[in-house]
Amino acid sequence: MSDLIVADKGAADPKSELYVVFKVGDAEYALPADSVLQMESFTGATRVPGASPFVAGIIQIRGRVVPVLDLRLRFGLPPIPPTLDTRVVVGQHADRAVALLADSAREVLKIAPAQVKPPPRLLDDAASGFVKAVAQIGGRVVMIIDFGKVIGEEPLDVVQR
Amino acid sequence: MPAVLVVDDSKVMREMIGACIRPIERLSIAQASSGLEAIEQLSLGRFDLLVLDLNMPDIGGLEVVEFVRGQDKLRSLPILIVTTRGDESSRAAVMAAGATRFLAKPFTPDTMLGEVNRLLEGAGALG
Amino acid sequence: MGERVSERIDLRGFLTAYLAEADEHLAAANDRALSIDASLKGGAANPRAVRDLFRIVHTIKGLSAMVAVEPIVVVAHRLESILRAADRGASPLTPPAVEVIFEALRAIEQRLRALEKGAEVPAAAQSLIARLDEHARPTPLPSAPAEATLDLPPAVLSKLAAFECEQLVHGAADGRRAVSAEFVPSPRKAAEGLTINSVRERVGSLAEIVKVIPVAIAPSEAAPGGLSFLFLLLTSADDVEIAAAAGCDPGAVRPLVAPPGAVAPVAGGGEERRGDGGEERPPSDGDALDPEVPEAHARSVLRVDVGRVDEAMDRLSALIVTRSRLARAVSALDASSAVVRELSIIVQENARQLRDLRAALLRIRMVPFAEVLSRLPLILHHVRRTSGKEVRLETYAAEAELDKAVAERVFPALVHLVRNAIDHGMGTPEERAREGKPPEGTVRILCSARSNRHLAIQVNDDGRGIDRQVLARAIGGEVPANDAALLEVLCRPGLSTRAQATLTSGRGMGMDIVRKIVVDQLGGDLSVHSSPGEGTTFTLHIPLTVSILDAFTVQCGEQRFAIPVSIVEEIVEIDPRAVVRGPGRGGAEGTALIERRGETIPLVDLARVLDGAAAPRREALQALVVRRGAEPVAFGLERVLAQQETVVRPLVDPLVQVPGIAGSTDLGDGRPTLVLDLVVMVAALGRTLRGERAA
Repeated sequence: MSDLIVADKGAADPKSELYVVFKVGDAEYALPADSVLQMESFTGATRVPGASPFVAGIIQIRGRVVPVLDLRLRFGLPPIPPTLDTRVVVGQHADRAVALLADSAREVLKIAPAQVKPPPRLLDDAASGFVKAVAQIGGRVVMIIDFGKVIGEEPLDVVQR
Repeated sequence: MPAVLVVDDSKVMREMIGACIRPIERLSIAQASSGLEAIEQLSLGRFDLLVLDLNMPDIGGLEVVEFVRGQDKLRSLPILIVTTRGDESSRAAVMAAGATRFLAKPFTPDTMLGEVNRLLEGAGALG
Repeated sequence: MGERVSERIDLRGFLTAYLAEADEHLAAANDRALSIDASLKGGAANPRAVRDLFRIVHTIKGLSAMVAVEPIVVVAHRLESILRAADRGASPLTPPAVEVIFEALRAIEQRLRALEKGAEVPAAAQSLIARLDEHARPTPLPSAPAEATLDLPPAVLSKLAAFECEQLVHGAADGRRAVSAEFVPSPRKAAEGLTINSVRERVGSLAEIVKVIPVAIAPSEAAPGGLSFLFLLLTSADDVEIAAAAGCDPGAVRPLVAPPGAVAPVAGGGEERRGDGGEERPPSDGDALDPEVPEAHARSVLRVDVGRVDEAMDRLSALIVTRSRLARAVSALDASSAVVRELSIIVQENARQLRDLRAALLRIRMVPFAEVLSRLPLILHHVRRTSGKEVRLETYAAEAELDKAVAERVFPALVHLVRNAIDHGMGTPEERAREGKPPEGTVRILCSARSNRHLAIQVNDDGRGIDRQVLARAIGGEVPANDAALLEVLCRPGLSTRAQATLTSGRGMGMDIVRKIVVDQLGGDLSVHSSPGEGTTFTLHIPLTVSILDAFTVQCGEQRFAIPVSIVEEIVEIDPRAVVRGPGRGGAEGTALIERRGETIPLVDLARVLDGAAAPRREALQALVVRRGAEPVAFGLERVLAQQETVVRPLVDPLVQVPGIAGSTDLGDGRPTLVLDLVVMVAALGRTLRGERAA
């Protein structure tokens, strides 16, 4: 994580929490740092035929095998080939560990509760509940995602062969 | 219906011997894995032949033979001793104690079958 | 009844059973040899272990002769001569003799392994035979009988060996009582479960059984067999308990050693010269016998072929697939109907039952960790000798259990760590003395269940600890800042030999292998903690849910896959010219067919099955024939690469649970390789093909 910038924007408020911020397309998203296990560059995943089209495949990280969810596809964007900036952010939810594939991930931000607002209704409907809150930091809009919803509670549209 | 008691602490050995003598008609084969177990079965059951290995953990084959020959009802039970190369000295002792015949390992299936047949026939057990 | 020639019974058909039994005997032999070695170090003899070892080797010899493994017979025969002489007191074993015994046992083990692999069994090395012959001695004549002070009839006393008498007398001296108890077998008792075997077990759990002697008695109603078994015991239990275990009257339990001054010593006859029995040993030393290791109480244990457990697991997997199909079918019904609701509940309960069954099956494969650790003392013995260091091994396995296949993988990693601890971590006794430590070093292995899914194993030594400065200088790098960084350095493949020589306390090569096993293959965790002067502790976390499969690795398009050997009926070469296409429909290509042994089998491109019809069709050069029920299918692929044992880790996340994908494995390249269950795919294919036809 040496290329991460830890910004202390919310430093004043002692109830601030750390969030890992990553980009998918033009938008910025965030996850609580507590639920992030690892972040690594992406060197390709083993395809899993028959899994949902959102699943790029599986990777082995520090001995752990985790599925990789392509956030571009999940959030309705067209896929692009990986670049040097592409990152996998491995998050934990209950006893599941899932890697999110993002276009880049460079920042860890302190966000104060005062900066966090519920998502606008329109966004909520369109985003199928993926975004659980929106943080306004300076001029930036950072969407805090609901990890559980993003990775899905059920097998996502398993393709019948 | 002839009944044979095969005694050896090695399960593999017992199975091998069993495989050799199975062709005998209406033969019933019982197994014991130690000298003590053999003596118990012999005293409570009815057998026409004892096939006994000399080398066993609790009491050796020699003691079994001595005990068996000391029992009235077992005095004429045919006893086939299975020995291993190098047991020559014990062989003499056990024959002196009253064993009927011995067979040295390794033996072929035919040899074992032949010996058992002969001993059962001699005892009139094959009818 | 004429004589019937037995149909060609080939005793070599017993080879597998022989190997299993021989392995058990060998483990017992090594165990006894270690006991003898330990006793010798304490300056005592261990006649019981010598006799046991003699018998075990004798058994191995006889069995090996029956299956015609001559090289093992040759070694065992000479080993037996040495042990027979030792048993009869003529030439007690010396440490060099014990070392030759270990060597001979190792030679036998190597040949068993060769036999197992189906390789040729090498003849016994001349040098070993020569060394064995050096230690052999001619067997002696009987010597004077020893006296005993046991209160037993002379006929019974004559059947006791000197060391057995001594054991009873000395046992009585150390606080336990020497008693006799009687068991009279009868059909009625046998019906109640009281047989000589069961009584031996029961009494054995209360007392140390020194000897059981059959005694002829007058036949009676209570003793229809005319037989009674006299148990000679050392125990701290009371007469009532012993009597209950033996099924006799408490009055029949009698003391063997008279209270001091009460009874005049009865001179016992020595044991007569017996063929396979013991010989009188002249009462040379008055040394107390080494405390006997209590006999391991036989658990209620079943030897099971691991293949059968795996077979049961396969059946279970099929059940699980069927259940998923059922669940899907139910969910497709009208959800508002009460009948459907009830069906859903039943299907859910079924799922739970299947999960429980799977857990139960997995438990069958579990072996106690203590069993894994029991193989260490032998290895330690050799490492101690070659390194010249004095080391003690302490192990705490508690009740921990792990899957047999995982245990087999973890064991070499543990051996590595223990060896390193002794070779590099531990100083010589002189060095340790200078540091104010006891001359004998201690290596401790501690195992505990960290959760119900993980096992934690700690390997700790009280040696020098790792000096990070020295390590950094030796590899020419930075001083590791913390334990994690230290581990990285230690696991660097091939720490140079120069570095090894200059490292005063580091670990040698092999740590990278340990990490590969624990982390990459088993998906566990490895960490280290070390302080200079205080020793080093390695902690391994092992997940309990892996399985090991024999699998074919295959190349299919860009990817490699692993396919369990057990589901592949055959590997066939594909001649493109011999492939026939059935009639197509609506512009699509027809099904490809090949002929094999008179059967017509559909040939499907594995790449297409996995990636969909859009994948480019490649030339299939080989195919795996898989059969589901009566339907065979050939899966075409480029090449079968190899056959190897793979550790399969299930894909637990719902995102990647796909029927037909059994899990993932690491073929050594750090990327997960999928393990495919082609039988499930055949089922899915069948449905697709039928679906297409109906369209």
